[in-house]
Amino acid sequence: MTRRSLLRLLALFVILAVIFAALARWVPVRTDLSFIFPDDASSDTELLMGQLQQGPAAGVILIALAEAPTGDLVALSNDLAKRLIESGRFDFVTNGTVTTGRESLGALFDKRYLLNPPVTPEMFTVTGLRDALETGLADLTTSIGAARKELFAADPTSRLDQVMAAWSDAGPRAGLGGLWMSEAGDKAWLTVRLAAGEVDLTRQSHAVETIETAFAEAVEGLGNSARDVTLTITGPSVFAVRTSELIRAEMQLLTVASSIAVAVLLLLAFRSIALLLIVALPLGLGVAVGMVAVRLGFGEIHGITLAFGGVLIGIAIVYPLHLMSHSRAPTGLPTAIQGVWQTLFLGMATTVVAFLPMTLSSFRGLAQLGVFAISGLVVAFIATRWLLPRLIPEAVAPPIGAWSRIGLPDRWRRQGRLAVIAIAVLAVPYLWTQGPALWEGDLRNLSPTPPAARAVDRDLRREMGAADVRYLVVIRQPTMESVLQQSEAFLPRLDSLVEAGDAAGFQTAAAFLPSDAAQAARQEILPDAPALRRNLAAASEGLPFDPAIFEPFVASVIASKDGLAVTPGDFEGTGLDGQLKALLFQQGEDWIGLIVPLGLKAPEKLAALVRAENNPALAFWDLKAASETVVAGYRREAALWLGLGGLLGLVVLLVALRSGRRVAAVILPIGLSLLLTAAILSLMGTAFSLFHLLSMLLVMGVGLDYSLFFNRQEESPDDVLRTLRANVFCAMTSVTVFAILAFSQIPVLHSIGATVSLGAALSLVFAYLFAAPPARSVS
Amino acid sequence: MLVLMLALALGLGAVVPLSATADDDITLMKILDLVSQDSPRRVAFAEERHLSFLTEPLRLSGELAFDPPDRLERVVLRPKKEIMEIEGDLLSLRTLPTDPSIRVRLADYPALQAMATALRGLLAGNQAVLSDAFQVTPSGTAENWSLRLEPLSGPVRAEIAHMELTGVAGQVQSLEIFEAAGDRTRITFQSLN
Repeated sequence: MTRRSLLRLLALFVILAVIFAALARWVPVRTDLSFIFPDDASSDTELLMGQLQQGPAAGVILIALAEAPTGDLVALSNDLAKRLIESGRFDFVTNGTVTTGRESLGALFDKRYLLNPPVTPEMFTVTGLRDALETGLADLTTSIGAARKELFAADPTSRLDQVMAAWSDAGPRAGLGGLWMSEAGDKAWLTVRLAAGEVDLTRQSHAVETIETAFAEAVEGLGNSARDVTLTITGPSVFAVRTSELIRAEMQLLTVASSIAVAVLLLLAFRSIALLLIVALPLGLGVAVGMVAVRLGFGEIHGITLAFGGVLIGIAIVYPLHLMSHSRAPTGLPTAIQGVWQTLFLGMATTVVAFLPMTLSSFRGLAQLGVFAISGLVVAFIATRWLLPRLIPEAVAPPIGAWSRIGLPDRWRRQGRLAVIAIAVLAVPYLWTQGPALWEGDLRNLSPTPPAARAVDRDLRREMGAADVRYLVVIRQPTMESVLQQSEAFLPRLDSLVEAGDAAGFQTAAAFLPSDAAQAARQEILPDAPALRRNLAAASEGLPFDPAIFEPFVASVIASKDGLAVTPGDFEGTGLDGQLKALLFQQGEDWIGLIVPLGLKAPEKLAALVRAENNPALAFWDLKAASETVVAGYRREAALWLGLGGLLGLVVLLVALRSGRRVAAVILPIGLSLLLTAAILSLMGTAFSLFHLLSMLLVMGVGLDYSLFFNRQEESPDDVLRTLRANVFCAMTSVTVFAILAFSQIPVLHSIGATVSLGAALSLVFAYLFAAPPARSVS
Repeated sequence: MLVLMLALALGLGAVVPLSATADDDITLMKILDLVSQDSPRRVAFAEERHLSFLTEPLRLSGELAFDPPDRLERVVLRPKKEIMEIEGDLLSLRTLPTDPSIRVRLADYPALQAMATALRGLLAGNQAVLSDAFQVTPSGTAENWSLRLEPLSGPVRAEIAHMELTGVAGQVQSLEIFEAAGDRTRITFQSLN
């Protein structure tokens, strides 16, 4: 290659780098679940998507401390809780004793008689007050009672404790009323919640960092005995941070490893590193144009589209490799392209036509992917056909002498074909009998979180009795007030579940925020000031109280009775704000209230209770089942569009090859490799997800090119070897890169890697075995 | 000169009686020796809490046990049952022996910490524990002594003004706690049997 060509090539790469830098700013990348959801924008779909990624538990992080003496764990837990509260990064922090905001209820303190549990007229009669005062007096002799003696005059009936008890999340049972700790004293637990609203990765990673730093400082403060103490943190935010760290680290490693592997391979093939650039150019241009096309068509690109689009454009590595392999001195690329472009064009056109139906999908992500792959492949072809031969006309591949020794005798190829068909005949009934077990329905298994991290999360949730939001009761109403009233009407029905031990409790907005109607009823019940003072005086008779000390109590009752009702705004700064917003929110025209069961053991009983209400405003949701339905719908639609695309591709091949036998020779190996790839993966215990399906697209694309080249009419025996060389290196490149990807700990990357490396290898072998090129015309 | 003489005389007057009665007066070491040798490990107690907003004191009673070097168990039997265990910096509370414990860090409750430190230091005969936490002023005789303890640390002083321990030879008789806010608690001890 001449210096001028190399400089031209490098200049083009600089331009490409600038284009990518610009694209990174211009194309918004979306990373939520919308890739997998249909574009029908029904309010239920929107709510489901919201709950799956930002439900009431989204901002919650669970923390466990272990491996230290009980005393140290207590000290650490309190110290850590204080540090986390002081950090200001969390809406809410608690370890059972040290808790955000609960000591400063603000406006809510004076309105506590409007909150839950409901007040009754009996509470304010002489008898009721007398009972409360006697209990309060006895409580003062206990350590806990003594600790709140400053509050006694303002709250002699312990109303604050009743309200707090109604609010408390069902924490770990062993620690109720105190520090969250295992009964054996060998574990201490805390939970924190990020502030409500959009939870982004930056804030999540700051939160995780804050916890880790605070923990390290707290351990430092304790000295030697706590040296071995362990910190476990889990929750959606932790997953997001850890996964993105893992993806970044793995991507670096995998990129370096596969770049080296590809470079070594191409060096073996063409004995020139500069040629690596030639191979990369059409791919780079394809990805850039794919991004532009999706940006223009959709206004944004989904992260999964970008990743998969990049992978699919990998099909185009075939184009420059064939071009290079067929070049020879002295004519170089301009002659080589004349020999290969028609086959390349047929491969590209068939693939593009096969992807066309996908662009019509109601799943936005799938449609984006179609547009991305089609525009990228067309551009990669154009770059190979017209740009490369002009840019570096003198590039040539080394002679193909050694390749003449490679090849199988016809007899072996025949036996190979029979063996493959025999195995395929077995694979069909095997896959058929697997039925639905073939498919991965659980959306959570598509998440990039490593299974080990999910196991830690599941265990900790069980130990702590924390909410694992799979089941929900959704209340949809036109106003906030009617959501709260519906909740209040329904909640008492749930008591039977708690009494039977089928659920530990329920989280819902109405527990914190009674409806206006309920509050008005409580205001009616509360006594006026003269009546309360009179009853207090009578109740204090014979007890060691001067009734005058209870004036702050009288003031609170009157403030509740005559003041404004409690509104969601009153919860700001109390640590309950975030939870309230997660459980009660507006969606479009509607208000949504959620009832989240804690420690639910009998979901079918909850479903039955909801059904028995026969109330259209109430719905029982199983997020797992709902997401499975979405995933299955996705799969059905993807399969439909892909099947339709396959038929269209077949039409293209029939028109171009004009022979049913030749078309069969081209598509049979592709079909067989897809079939056997599926059977082998399934035998290895893989359940197929959408990502396997998309990976199969890539296998189809490269398999088609191998097949078309093996089946084409060659000009000379040397050209046969050049085609063989190109196909072998194409396959080796794909297999190497994707085999490296198969080592990833991230399930999605692993499944793409395993599918494509296996499929590409089988495609090459089968295309070779089944190739039936037309006899060279004797001219 | 006259002023100086007067000051000297007053100063001497304050010192001389002390040194003159050194034989029958008491030192902290002496009290600790007596108590740590003779004091029973388990005693009954009666407590009176004088709270500003009550016209009569609260009364409670129960048993107190000490297990060297630093474990205290305080069982309130009347009027409401409560078991408190203090070991190291850990405080556990239960209503019944079979209940799950509420555990807190002693350092977070300065008033309880002061009481625990005073009792642990005294019963274990550990002078350093007492003098690290309090300014200790002994008075009286071996047959009838008292210790005035003034907390040194800020958080404790914010709650506890001072405490007063009294005893007869090796028997601790009472602990009186004077809170900064004016409330006062008096605990008297009696041997069990």
